[in-house]
Amino acid sequence: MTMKETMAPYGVLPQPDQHTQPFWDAAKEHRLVIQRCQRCRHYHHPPVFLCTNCNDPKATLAFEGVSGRGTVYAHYVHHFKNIGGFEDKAPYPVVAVELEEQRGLLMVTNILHCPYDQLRVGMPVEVVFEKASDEITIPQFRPRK
Amino acid sequence: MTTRETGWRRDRLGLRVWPHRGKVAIVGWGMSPVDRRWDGVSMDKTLGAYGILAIQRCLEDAGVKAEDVDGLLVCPETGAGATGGSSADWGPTRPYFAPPYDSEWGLSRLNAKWLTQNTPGLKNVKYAPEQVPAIGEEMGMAAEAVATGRCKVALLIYGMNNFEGRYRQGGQNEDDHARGDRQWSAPWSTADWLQLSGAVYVQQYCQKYGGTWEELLGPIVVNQHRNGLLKQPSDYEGWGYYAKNGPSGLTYEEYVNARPVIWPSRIWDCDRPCHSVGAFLFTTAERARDMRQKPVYVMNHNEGSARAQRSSQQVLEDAEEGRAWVAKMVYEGSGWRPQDVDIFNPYDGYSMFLPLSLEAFQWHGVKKGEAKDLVKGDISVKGPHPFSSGGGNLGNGRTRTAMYIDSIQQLRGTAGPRQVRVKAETAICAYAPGVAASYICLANSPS
Ligand SMILES: [Zn+2]
Repeated sequence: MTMKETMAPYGVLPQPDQHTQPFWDAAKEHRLVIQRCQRCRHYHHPPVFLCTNCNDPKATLAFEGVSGRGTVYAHYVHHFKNIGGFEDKAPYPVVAVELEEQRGLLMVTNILHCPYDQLRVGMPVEVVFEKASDEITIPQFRPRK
Repeated sequence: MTTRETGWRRDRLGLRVWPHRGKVAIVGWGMSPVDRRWDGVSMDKTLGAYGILAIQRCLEDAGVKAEDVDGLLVCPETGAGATGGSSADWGPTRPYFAPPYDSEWGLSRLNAKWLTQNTPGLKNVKYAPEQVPAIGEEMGMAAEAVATGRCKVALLIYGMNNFEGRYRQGGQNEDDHARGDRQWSAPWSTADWLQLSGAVYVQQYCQKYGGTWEELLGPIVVNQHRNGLLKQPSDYEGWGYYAKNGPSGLTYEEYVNARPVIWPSRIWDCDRPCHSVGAFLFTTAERARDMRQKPVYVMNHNEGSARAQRSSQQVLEDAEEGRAWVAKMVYEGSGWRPQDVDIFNPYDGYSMFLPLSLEAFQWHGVKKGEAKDLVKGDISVKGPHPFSSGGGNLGNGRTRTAMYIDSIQQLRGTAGPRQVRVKAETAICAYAPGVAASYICLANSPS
């Protein structure tokens, strides 16, 4: 039975930009925030430049805190050593988590503390945070107790 | 010419039946051998040499002289890259050779200039656009070029190159910082979007409609391999990797126990990168009448892509809706209904695409959630539901030509051991990753 307790050290770090800085700033404080349309209240992840739900070019988009709870929407175990910075980590698990705030609101991360053969669609999970550098903290998920 | 011609694209609903339906025909095809990659030594096996060979075989098939060709469409992107379909823009650092191999053109890449300079007799080409899309849309572009009189006899060339070394090395994959959209995937080292989305759809599919990954995809992958091996000696080296190099078959058990890649996807769920060139000859229906082969008429073509999601990630319902939109457009443009389609060769870079395309087009009456039932039965070419009779890219390697070659052969009645036992008068085929709409409709009669 294999599982990951950590994905550190991180070989590839995100480069936040003006548009995405709030997400990474919050992660550093162990808070999960997701971009939300202030007009139609639809969440977006990854963040967008124009709300694809109401398509209103005047609608503002802002990051808002979410519960960090969700369920596994899909999962896989990455055996292929084709991605730079992760060659030594394979096999490692990846999940698409559907956040409880909205149907189809998916976030793709790894899953920690979960034996690979226990990965199931619908499994309840919660966010955890891993420090990757002084600047960057990476959100991850683990099974919810 | 540097401007991108886009006026020819049929990429939305409401365009009605293609006005040139049945007025253009495919009259020849040719295929080079399919190798794993160029060996770096054999100058008769470069992508350029294979391009010339494919052209000669295509013209021989059609009974047309190189001098008669006045249109040449060559897709310059020959490598699958970080985005799945476009060139990754990297390559080995190496010394070049004497002309015509004094650059990457002719070795690992192809364009109209190199081919016109190096293919004997190809001296009357007047229409040779520089911006040519991948084969799915290239087919429509060639058909439209003939239909609208830009040229009378058009050669379509599509090559695939496969460099040695780590798959998808270079470029963004070498970067230790994830910028732009990659900041939402690279830190967790997720698979490329197409593969990830395929895994997402299939797991949700099984959750929603029942069955397992293996039950849904196993029979499809086995069928693709079986069809890819059903070749006749007169077909150029079997125009596929496996027909030439083996393995000589794949069982369900072998599929289930195969090497995990992005588990639960196995190595056989992914197409194998290869080194090959395919060529197709298009002309007017009028000229086609007196040519060597029974013409295969173009009844419609489509391009573009569905706008498939309301949120920023695509889920099963988005993928289903997106493909349904594509199918609606293809049926509108051809004037066909699902029951009018005999041969169906959708795109299979990953096996995960196939069940959803099957259901969206409702081929043989298969509706949402029913692909899993069809594949439990007989989907071989000998049976009543010969799904993906060409074997696609999973059964032939990543040539991206198998869907087209098989459709042409089935409509001509020359598929040999792969010839379906049911009627073969119409075909729909595609190189259409994700929710792309790049489909072409073919028929053995113009009406
Ligand atoms: Zn909105």
